[in-house]
Amino acid sequence: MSLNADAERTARHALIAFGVPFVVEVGPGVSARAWRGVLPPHSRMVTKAVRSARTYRLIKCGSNFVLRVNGSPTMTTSSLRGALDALEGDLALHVAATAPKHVFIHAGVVVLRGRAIILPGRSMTGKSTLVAALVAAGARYYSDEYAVLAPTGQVLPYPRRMSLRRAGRAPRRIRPRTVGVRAARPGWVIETRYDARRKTLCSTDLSPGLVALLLLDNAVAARLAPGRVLPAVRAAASMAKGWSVLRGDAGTSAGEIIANCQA
Amino acid sequence: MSRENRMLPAARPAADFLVETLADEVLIYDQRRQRAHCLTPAAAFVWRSCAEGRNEAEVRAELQSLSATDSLEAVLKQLDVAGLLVSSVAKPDRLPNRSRRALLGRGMVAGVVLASPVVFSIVAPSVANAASVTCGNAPNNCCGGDPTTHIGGSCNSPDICKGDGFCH
Repeated sequence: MSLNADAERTARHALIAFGVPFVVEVGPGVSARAWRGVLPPHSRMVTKAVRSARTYRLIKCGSNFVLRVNGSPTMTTSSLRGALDALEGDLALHVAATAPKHVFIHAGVVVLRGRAIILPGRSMTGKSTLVAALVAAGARYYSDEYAVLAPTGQVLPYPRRMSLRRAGRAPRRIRPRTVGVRAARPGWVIETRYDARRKTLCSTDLSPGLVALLLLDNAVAARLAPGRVLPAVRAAASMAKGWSVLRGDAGTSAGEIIANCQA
Repeated sequence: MSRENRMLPAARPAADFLVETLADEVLIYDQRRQRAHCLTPAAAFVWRSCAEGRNEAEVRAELQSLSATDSLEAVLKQLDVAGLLVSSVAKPDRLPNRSRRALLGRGMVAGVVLASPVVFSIVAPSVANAASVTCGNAPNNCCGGDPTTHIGGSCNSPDICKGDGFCH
C-alpha cells in the first residue's frame, strides 16, 4: 500500500496535557491501546479545534512504521515499540518544555506520608532504579521521569510506566500497582550519586538555595522560561529539606533514605 | 583614592537578572549568559552592596559582623568570576595579581579562610540536556545514550550515536 493511501486513512486526535495541545494522527496497524499507552499522563481528548504547535503522525508503511513530527520524518523502524518509544519521548519533552503553568524537573518522585521525595538527575544516573526500590520499600509512586511543580511548589503526579534500563537490552517497562493522584508538598530533595563500593549512605545537608539550584539544574524549561521556573523552584525548595547523598545498592539505599526521612 | 574611601566594583545591571530570595540566600538567573547562581548570605550582602554603590570600608565592617570567615576580597573575587560584576575586582593593595592559591596561602597565614565557596554556579540546561532517551524492545537504530554526553549509547560500526539518541 502506498504512503499516500495509508495517510488518507489516518485518524486525527486532538489532545491536551498540562495545558499543552498536540495532535496525534495514527494509521491502520497501530492500535488505540498502543498509542494511547505512550501519551503523557493526564492527556485528554479535546473536541473543539486546538491550535497545536506539534503534530505527530504514526503510520505503517509496508513492513516499517514511520513517525513524522510536523510533517518531517523523524523515525523509520520495523519495530512498533521503537516508534512508540520515540513518540513518547518527543511528546513528553514537548509537553515538559512548553507547559504554560507547570514546571517540569527531570527527577524521580515518590511520596512518603504525604510528602514528596524528589530525586533530581539526568539520564543514566539511576533515578528509575532508586524510585523502584523506594516504591518496593513502601513509598507511593509519582514518577520516574519528571517532578511536575505547580507554581506553588507542590508536586503533581506524573505516573508514566517506570522504565528500568538493563545492560545491553531494552528497558523493562513496569506499571506500578498504586500511583499518586494528588498534589504533594515537597518534603525532601535529594541529590544522589552512585558508588558501587559504598555500603551505607553518606549524606550532607543542602541549604534551601542549593536545593533551588539543584532543581533549576534539572528544569526542562530553565532557559525557555526562567521567569516561570525560578519562582516554582524557590517555592519547592523553601518547603523541602535538601541532602546530597553518595549511595550504593539501590535496595539498601532506599531503606536508609526512608528511615532518614521518617527520623 | 585611599583604600578606605574606595567604592565597591559595580554590579551588572539588575535588568540582566532574575532574582529570588530564600531566607538569607539569593538565587540569581543571568538572562544574558544562561547561568544561575546561589549566593550565600555573605555573598548576597556584598552583591547588593555593589549594586547600591557602597563604600568598601563600611561594607567590609558589616561583612565581618555577618560572617567571620569570608573576607571581602574573596567574596568579590567569586562574584567577579561568576560574572556578576561590571568591572574586574580591585585587587587588595598588597596582593597585586595574586593567584587564588596565593590568596588562599595568605589567608591561611593570617588565620582567615579566604577560599570557602560563597557563590555556587551552574550553566542552565538546554531542553535537550534535560531529556531522557528511551529505546523500544527491538529498536533498529536507537542507541539510548544521553543526548548530550552519549553516555550509554552504542551503535554498530560505522554508525555513531548522535545527539537525538539514535544511530546514524
